[in-house]
Amino acid sequence: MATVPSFPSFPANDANLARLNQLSAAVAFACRCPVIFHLYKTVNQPVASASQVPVSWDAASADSDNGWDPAKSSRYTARTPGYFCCDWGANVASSGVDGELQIALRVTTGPGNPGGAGTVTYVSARSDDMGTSSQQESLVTSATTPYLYAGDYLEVVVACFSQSTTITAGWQNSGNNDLNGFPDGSPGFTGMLVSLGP
Amino acid sequence: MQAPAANPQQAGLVAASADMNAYSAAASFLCSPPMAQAFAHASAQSLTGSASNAIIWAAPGRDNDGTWSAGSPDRFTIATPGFYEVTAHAGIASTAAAAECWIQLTTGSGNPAGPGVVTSWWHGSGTAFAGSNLFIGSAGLIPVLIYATDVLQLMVQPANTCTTAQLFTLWGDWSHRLVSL
Repeated sequence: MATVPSFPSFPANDANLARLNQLSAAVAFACRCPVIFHLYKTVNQPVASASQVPVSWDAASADSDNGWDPAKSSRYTARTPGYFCCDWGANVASSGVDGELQIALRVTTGPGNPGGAGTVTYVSARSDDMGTSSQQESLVTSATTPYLYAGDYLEVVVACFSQSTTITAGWQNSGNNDLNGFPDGSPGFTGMLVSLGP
Repeated sequence: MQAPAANPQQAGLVAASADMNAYSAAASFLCSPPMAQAFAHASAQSLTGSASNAIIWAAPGRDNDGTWSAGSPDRFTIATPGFYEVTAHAGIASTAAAAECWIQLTTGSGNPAGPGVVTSWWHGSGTAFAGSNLFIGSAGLIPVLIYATDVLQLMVQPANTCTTAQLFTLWGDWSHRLVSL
């Protein structure tokens, strides 16, 4: 967990070293954003038709707060409480059969949440008609989470209707194109603590 | 929210406690900036086809600058001037067939341009697969200075008259956050 700053109150004629360092730490916290993560995939993942699948992340290029555990690969678990601004996206293989791609971010409360563990909330979603082609269908979304307590975790979930498909890995791989011929928006999940709240 | 002011200091002078507390308030402001996070009202809202419709929001879980009110639940009225990043999405019934959305900024009485000037930002769109609800959204930095009393809204224009709808039990979401004074 990142060291959360506190904000000193200065009495008259008492700007002592401890208070000044407390203030310095608070400014450094705000400027450096000590909680940031980026998860991505290197392995394809199947998605059965009409089922909701948490995306399994198998690599992290940043995880400053150790919120990702490869043993629970779909989860980013908040260590430092607060509000997180997240961006996520996934691309799936399309086919000659039309269908719909849906993607969402969901929060599951942990044991440290005053509301108890196991409550699921969807934060934000996107969906679109996949069309009928052999290209890739990509969706990306951004949102700010509700207040996360330490132990609450985030997951990106994907659902496809009318066809089974595959979440296609290949981060920064321009060999895969989406329906419009652009390089794919291969699966990724980023987040950053943006407010301590509460 | 009172935007912080950190006064410059002069060499050789002892910093006054008021100045030091202003620095402390500025650090606190940076760590918990003006921000709102809300979900759409969890019941079907009628949307007129080929017309712009403002999405209605339930009471925010977070709104530390008092931008939402029950009397105007489709609006977030900015209280602290600055540049804001906005993300917003809405669920649309499949009967819409297709829909477009955007973030709408309407100037208020505190804006030097005068009230009632409308601009739109970050258009998004989508097409519904037969029988499946659609979820569309807009996200990005609003690249103009927003003044106190200016209003932000999520507007939706479906191809056909329809209602809002849910996806993954979610009806829609909104967030805005001050990123620069």
